[in-house]
Amino acid sequence: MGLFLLESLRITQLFPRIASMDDRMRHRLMLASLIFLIILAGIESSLALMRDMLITDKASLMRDLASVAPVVEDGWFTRIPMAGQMIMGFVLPFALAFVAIPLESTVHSLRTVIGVLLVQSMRGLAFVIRFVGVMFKRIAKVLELVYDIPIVIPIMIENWVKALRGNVSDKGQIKSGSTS
Amino acid sequence: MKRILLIASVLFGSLFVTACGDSRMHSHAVYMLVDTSGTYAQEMNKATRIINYLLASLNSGDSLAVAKVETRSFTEKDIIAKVTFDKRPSQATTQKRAFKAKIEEFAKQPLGSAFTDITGGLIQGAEYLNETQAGIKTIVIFSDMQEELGQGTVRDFPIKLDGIRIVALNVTKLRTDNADPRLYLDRLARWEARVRKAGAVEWVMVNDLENNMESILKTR
Repeated sequence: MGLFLLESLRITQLFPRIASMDDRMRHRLMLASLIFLIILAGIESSLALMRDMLITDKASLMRDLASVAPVVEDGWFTRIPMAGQMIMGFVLPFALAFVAIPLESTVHSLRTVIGVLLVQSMRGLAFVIRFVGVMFKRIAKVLELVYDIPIVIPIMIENWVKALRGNVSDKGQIKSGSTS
Repeated sequence: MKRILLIASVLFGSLFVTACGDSRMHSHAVYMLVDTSGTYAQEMNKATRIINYLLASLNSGDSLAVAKVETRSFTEKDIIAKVTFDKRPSQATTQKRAFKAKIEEFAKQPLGSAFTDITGGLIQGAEYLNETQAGIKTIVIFSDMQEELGQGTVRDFPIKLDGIRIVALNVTKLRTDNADPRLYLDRLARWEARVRKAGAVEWVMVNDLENNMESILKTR
């Protein structure tokens, strides 16, 4: 209803058909929207009052059943929450009607915004996939380097054993050469 | 293949539907029997307090009936007031006020009957509770449980209390009970055996009305 009201007042132009209506028709639409909005706001406000009445009624019944003396009302202090809820219930529909103005801006710019968001998300996805690819490419090298650390000692031992064996066999050859 | 898929989807669908929600009725129906015989008629104030407690505790969709126990209690004429609370809270509040007014009007009347037909009251209560189709059914007996039947009143036959909770309240001790406590204990034991044989799901006795009133409606 609020949307139709602002459309008929030409504050927003979400529906060009309404803006291009003739003045008499547009005026009637405006009045109808305003009356409906006031009725709905009134209903919401009266619901707040009914809620308070129901709660008071139930509390009064519970006091009667418990044979407790009725509570003496403190005056207007106790009615502040109910009054606040009634006022908010009435005003909120009108306040929400003005949401149509930013809604219009959103609708007009939504296409561009979605496009920019999509482009950025694609770029982000490309970066992530490229990063994962590079990681998998480099991981083999990293594993090799990591392997080098524990294997260096066994290789040193191997070389030392080979060197020892080499010395022993050389000494044996020299001994057999000298005796022949 | 299509038939197999159809059967599988029907089975799965039925399993899904039956798994959703709780199909039990959660409403509570209470039938209160108030003894108005002899000296027990003076306990009416306590009975009114209990009725007020029941009115405060029961919610929309629940049922409450209060009946008096007289010379012969197997009759709807002994029901003082009965109500099934409306779904709308505002209407339920109005109904509770009207019920309370009826009970207060009844309490002002002179009470006292010559005999006490508790069994007749139980049968009448069971009939009322079964008609309500409530999920939890309770008969509250506000009496000293001393049954005295008049001439021509036949009550020595098996009764049916299937699925009903029996709560005995304020079972006062008579002078003879004070002289010989076995009379009191035997009386209660006989009642408990009789109602359990009749199919009652629970037998609760509440004498401490100051501190233990929640036991009236609490199921075990």
